[in-house]
Amino acid sequence: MTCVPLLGRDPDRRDRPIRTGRRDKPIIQLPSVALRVAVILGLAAVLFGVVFFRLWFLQILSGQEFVAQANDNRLSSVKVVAPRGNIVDRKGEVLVENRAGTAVGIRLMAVPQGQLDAEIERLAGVLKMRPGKIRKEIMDYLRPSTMEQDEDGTWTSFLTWRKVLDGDITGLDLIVVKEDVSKGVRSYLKEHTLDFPGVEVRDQYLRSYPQGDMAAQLLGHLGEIDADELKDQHFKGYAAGDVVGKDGLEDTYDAWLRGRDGVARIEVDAYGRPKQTEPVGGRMAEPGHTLVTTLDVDVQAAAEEALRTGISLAHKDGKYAANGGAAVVLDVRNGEILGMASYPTYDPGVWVGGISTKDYEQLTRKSANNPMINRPISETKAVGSTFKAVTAVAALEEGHISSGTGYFCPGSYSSMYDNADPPQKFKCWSDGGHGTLDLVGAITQSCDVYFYNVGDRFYGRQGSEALEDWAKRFGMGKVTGIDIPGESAGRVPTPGWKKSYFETEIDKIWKPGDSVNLSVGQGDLEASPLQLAVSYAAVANGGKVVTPHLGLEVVDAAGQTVRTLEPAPPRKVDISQSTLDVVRRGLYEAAHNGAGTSAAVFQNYDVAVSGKTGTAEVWDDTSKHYVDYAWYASYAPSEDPRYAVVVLIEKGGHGSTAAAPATRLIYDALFGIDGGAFTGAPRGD
Amino acid sequence: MVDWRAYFRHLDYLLILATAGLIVYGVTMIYFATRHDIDGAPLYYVRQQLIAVAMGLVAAIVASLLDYEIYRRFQWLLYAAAVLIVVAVLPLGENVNGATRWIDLGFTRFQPSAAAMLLLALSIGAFLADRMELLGSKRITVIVLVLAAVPAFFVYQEPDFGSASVIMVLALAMLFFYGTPWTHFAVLTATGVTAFVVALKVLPLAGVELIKQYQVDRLFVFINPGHDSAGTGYNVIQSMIAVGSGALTGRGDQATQTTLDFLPEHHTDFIFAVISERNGFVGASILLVLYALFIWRALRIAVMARDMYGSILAGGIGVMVLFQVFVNIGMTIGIMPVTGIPLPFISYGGTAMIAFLIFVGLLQAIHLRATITPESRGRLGQ
Repeated sequence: MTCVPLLGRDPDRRDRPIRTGRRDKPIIQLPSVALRVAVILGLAAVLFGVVFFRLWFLQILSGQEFVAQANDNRLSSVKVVAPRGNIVDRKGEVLVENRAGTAVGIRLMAVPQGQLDAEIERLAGVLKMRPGKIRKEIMDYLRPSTMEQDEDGTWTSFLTWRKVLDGDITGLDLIVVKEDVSKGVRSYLKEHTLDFPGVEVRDQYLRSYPQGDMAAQLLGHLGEIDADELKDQHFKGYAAGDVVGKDGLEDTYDAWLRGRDGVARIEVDAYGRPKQTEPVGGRMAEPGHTLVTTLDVDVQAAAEEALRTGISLAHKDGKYAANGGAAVVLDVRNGEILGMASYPTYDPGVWVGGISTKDYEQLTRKSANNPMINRPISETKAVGSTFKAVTAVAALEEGHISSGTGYFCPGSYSSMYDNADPPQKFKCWSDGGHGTLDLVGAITQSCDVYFYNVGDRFYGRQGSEALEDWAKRFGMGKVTGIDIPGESAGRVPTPGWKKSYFETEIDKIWKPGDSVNLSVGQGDLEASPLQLAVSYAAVANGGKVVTPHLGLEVVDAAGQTVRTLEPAPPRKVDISQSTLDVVRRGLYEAAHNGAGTSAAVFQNYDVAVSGKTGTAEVWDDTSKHYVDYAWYASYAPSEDPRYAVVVLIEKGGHGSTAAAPATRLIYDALFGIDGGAFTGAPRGD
Repeated sequence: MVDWRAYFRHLDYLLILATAGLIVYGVTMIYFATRHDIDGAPLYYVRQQLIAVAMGLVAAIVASLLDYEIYRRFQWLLYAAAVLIVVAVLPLGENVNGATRWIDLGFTRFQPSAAAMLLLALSIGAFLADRMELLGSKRITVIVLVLAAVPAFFVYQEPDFGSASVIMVLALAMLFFYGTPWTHFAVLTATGVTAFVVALKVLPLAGVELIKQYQVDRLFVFINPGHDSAGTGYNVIQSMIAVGSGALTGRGDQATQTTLDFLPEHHTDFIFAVISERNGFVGASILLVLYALFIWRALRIAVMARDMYGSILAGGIGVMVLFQVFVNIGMTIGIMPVTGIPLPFISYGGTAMIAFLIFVGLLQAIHLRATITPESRGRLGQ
């Protein structure tokens, strides 16, 4: 026995004697621990072997593959948005450019569980937006990835806000909740990153409009590509989340303006947060090209100012509630648009960083009178007497009249084919009548009765649609093909159209009054200011129906031309020289002869302007009666035409009082004339 | 009172070497895994772990000095304590990520399931050693399984499926070294497989779903982690990438899977992946060798023990460590389900560290008492 070396009882204590007390088994054999240990050792050897060989496979045989995967993990490809190209006028004046901005986004994965709602509340306070709006942005972002197909094949989203809060639906991506935040917000969030886990600020390019609201309707705006656009051929190769041009030039020339996004390979952690800002590789973004437009900022500014002037002129005698207008300035030789104005207008900057609900409501409410509509191409109305130029060309070319044909105007007219008793009476704008006039005189004085007679001649040739065909040849009734979306085709009424358009038998019939009305641009005829400008350009240039366009060329950062934008070639309409001479003479006299409807405006003007007034009666749904729309269609210089200018003042009264003086302001800009204040007694029509 | 010369002469130094190696290795790796986790406190987890090691060492020395015979007297007290703490955690514990596994003691967090393993090893081992005469009886097998199942059930409720399974494996291992007939294990295995198949395949056909399909999928996600690459499968994939990318000698400070947070639970359940990524096949192998050494020494002590209590205890400890090591490492290398079992001596966690150090103390106590007298030495030859 040795001493007791350790604490505790007798170290020699063995197990109690193994006596069972059972007769059949009085003493049992202690089990062999050694055998059982051997079994476990064997098992351990097998298990260690399995682990060892698995490690061998993973680390030695496949090691390099996993290194590649680990690198793939840590390096995230981040899209580097290419700066979008500028849009400039023909002289290089900037219409649209970029400025640096800040977007705020949230990374759901990095928001601690259960804190999302509270964080959104706080963030909403900082961003001065409703928490509901932030939630909506997040939901909208997540929705596409949560679509599930039912048994019957319909796709529905299983997304609920509860699931987002519970972390069942989450994401690594930065979900942008507000764009274009102020510098103050940016620095606040940067200083308080710890209070806003998962919230990040990001640099972004934003559109900026150095000319203010100039050409707002032509430029368009930017927005994230939507589901329909993704399917569109125009946006082939674009990915969800891409920012694309919406409407206007931004839309049409998106492919040139957008450039090529780059890719930065940056090291990120498991939550997608960048570890360092220096990229470790990737591809540089290629900035977008500059779009040079046919616009001229001076002409554009003048056109927009002209509309405002025209409207205030219409307001002068208190009779007309003018509240809208359109102006088009076209180069008659090639269809280049130097100016295209629409009134009312708005600040395109409201779209930057996403239009606010308040702004949108303001712009779309009725009293705003649709400032986002591009009236020169999308507002089609009766064109009134400006159509007489087309009627004149048609009548001469079809042989209904000659330049010497005279008609007597007693102040009103009834169709010779009208069998009603009493027949429908069409009034001339001049109650007292014009006496006997030839064609030039009729254009000069805008005699309606003369053209009623002509309309009757067209009606008399049953089965022929000669006048309608001529209107179409001049480009009415179908889109001109201008290079921005939103164009309306307008309408040239024909017997066939009446038949299919109207419902009652009496309305379906093409009556003498239809031809009479059409001859003076009334009735069911509808054309846009741009279509009218193209028609007058065709008269001016000898029958070329040009394709109006705004895109001139695409140039790169160094100013080198990348692509000259060629519109569709003009369509040639055969008009004899004698016809052109007569009609041009009439349009010249109208602006210069003492009896001419716009002579008071252009008689003593420095440049010879040929032009025709129009007072179109347009049905007004609000007031339930016809109101006068003031038109003026013109070209100049008369002897060697370069520009066609059309002005429409909605509810503006007579073309001579509102539209013609406005047109003159535009010519001032085109020819560099200091016109001064317009004085002169306007005449009717 | 204590013969320190005899004490030091009869300690199992290879066991100490294995234990010390594992702890030093583990604490070092916790440092590398967590140094970026808390801004300005790169040593936070290391310090916490070292405090546990210090407390564990003291406890282990005390355990090695005490004659383990005394636990036999308090076996029911120890068992009651084990059940009490795993029941208490359910209402008292704090909820972390949907699980209630810890009781906050103010200065530290206490993990009852880790302590329960120690208490259950001592009490169930004593229960068996006291009933050698009933060896072969089916009743003993059933009672021991029930004794283990009660605390395991509460642990499962936390929920902590991993620790519950460790408790059951510990009980089975002690039954095994007790000498339970092979036929019992055969019946248990057959019953288990049948129950599994019935619950999984037959009952759903009859319209009864004991286990939801997604739970089964989650358990077996390791077979094809790509199926659930955003959920549990994500962890497995990231872990395998970490292990694999370690290659032969490891990525050292370039271990991006760890430093960029791609590895979940990098200082607890998935620390083997951290070790493998940083130190490669060589570093992982060193760890395996240390575990092999530890298990060998534990099993050797089971053979040497002067009495059946010592054998059952040492054998149970050895098998438990083997089980935990295999399941944990297996999980990180994609050959075992993700169950959340920590790596003994390595994973961060104070209660488990103290419990395992006490296990080492117990092994030393058994070793000391087996080698210190000629009589007990004789048992080696049996």
